[in-house]
Amino acid sequence: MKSGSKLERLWEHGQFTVTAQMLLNGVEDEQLIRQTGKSLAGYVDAMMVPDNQKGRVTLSSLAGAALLTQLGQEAVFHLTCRDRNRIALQSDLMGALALGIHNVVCLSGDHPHLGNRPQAKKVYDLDSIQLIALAHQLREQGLRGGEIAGAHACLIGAVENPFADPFEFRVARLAKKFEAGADFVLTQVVFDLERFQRFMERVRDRGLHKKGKIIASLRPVAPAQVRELSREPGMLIPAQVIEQMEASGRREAGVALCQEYLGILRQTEGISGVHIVFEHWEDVACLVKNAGLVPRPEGLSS
Amino acid sequence: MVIAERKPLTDILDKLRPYRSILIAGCGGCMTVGLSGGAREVALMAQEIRLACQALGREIEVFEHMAERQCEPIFLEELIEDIEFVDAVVSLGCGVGVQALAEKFPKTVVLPALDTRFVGMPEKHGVWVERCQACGECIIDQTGGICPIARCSKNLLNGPCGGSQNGWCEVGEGIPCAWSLIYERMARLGEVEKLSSIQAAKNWGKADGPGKVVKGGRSREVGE
Ligand code: SF4
Ligand code: SF4
Repeated sequence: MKSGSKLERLWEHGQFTVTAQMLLNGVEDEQLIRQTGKSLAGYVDAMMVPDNQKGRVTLSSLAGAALLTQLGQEAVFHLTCRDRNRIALQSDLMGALALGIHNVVCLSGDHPHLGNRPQAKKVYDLDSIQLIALAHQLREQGLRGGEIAGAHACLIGAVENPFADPFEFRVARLAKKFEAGADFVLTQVVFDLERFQRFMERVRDRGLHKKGKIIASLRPVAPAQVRELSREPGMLIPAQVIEQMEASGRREAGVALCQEYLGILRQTEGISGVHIVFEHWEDVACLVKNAGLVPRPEGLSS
Repeated sequence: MVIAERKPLTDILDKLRPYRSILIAGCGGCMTVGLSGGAREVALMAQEIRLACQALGREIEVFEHMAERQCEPIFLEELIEDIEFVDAVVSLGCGVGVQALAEKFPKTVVLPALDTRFVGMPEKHGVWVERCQACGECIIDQTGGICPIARCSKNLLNGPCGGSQNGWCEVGEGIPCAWSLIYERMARLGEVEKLSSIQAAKNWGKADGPGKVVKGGRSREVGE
């Protein structure tokens, strides 16, 4: 075991994991985290807290993950390079462990211009790969000055977007993330299944699914929102999917699509878990239940 | 070269309110080729200020001067006598030019009339684009001669972020994604493999100001 992480234990036991991530709005984040953290107990193995997603100010991901930990939920905090230099990044990695958070997802972060504080000074002292390397070094070698290696027992996550360009380079970047020390990689939410499968083929060709865990993300979205979502940077939703959902018009159409994809992704070689980005926690519960993924395995002793 | 843009005339007039006699100082270097502070721009601004002040009923005397390069104190020597006769100097130099003037003339008010934007080059006539952020340690041998620090919105060193689509940056269409350009160029050069190796964290301390370079000597180094 590299970390005190429940996710790592589950993967070691060959389990297909289920994780979820709420969308924060910067208004009632604390209640949202507490409430969904409680409601999803028993449906997911861990919950992730985003770090000022889209550059919009929300409750700190570290604080959010600490709230979840207090509730007894396994928590993953997202850590972006956008707002912190290497001093603050390392400090937060150390702080997370002190709070009992043993999972981090390292990412570069959406640019401030996209958010609600567009005049903010961007930082990007490190990029996501350099942050992964920093977290890895912290775990494997400890700090300089004689600290014991292993004291920073954190499971290191990353993200990759198979739907961004240049397509050929996305797999190479995934490889770099594993090489830098990532234990798992979350993909961008899947709407274009065909492109995702092409990506996974290349991943398998290079044996990358054996270098770390790859977790496919899904997001149930209401038909009324799908077109707008498709315009967000890094999001690729095929016209056909948008049209089908809009034609159906039913709110459940988004959940139904995720249900279908979940069934396929579970059978896809190299996918070790599913990550559900949600607006309504009920959608997650419904997806997991219908997929026969409950009850979730207990923590499994280490 | 250094690229700058002129401030709005209203801002300049506002700052000139207390002064009755001013000198507009242009620059024969970057500001001339960048069409922001050459002889033509100096004459134009002088005329605009005169007319605006006349319309506002404000009395003002406007002199014009071109320095070969405003950022070099030696080229400011020629102003030593004239400077006595003005209340303020309006600089059409880059930020360095403004400071060179202020340093040379400790008792004279110097006002910037330009906003200095970046180090760049012309893309076509009247359009300039940023190319370098003076990071102190050039690494573009590894990125096909395209700078990811100046041209990637997130200064990424290890490849494109998840927002790169169809060659455009996530910050907005119209901003080419530097990493898309790097990838294409490396592919053409048959060097894509180079992009697979991990670039370690950069020593930003190399360009952390206040900078100073001594020819033949050693610059201040920041180690890890
Ligand atoms: S790597 Fe540094 S010195 Fe080289 S072009 Fe980019 S910013 Fe300028
Ligand atoms: S889209 Fe390209 S240029 Fe823009 S931040 Fe991402 S990698 Fe950099």
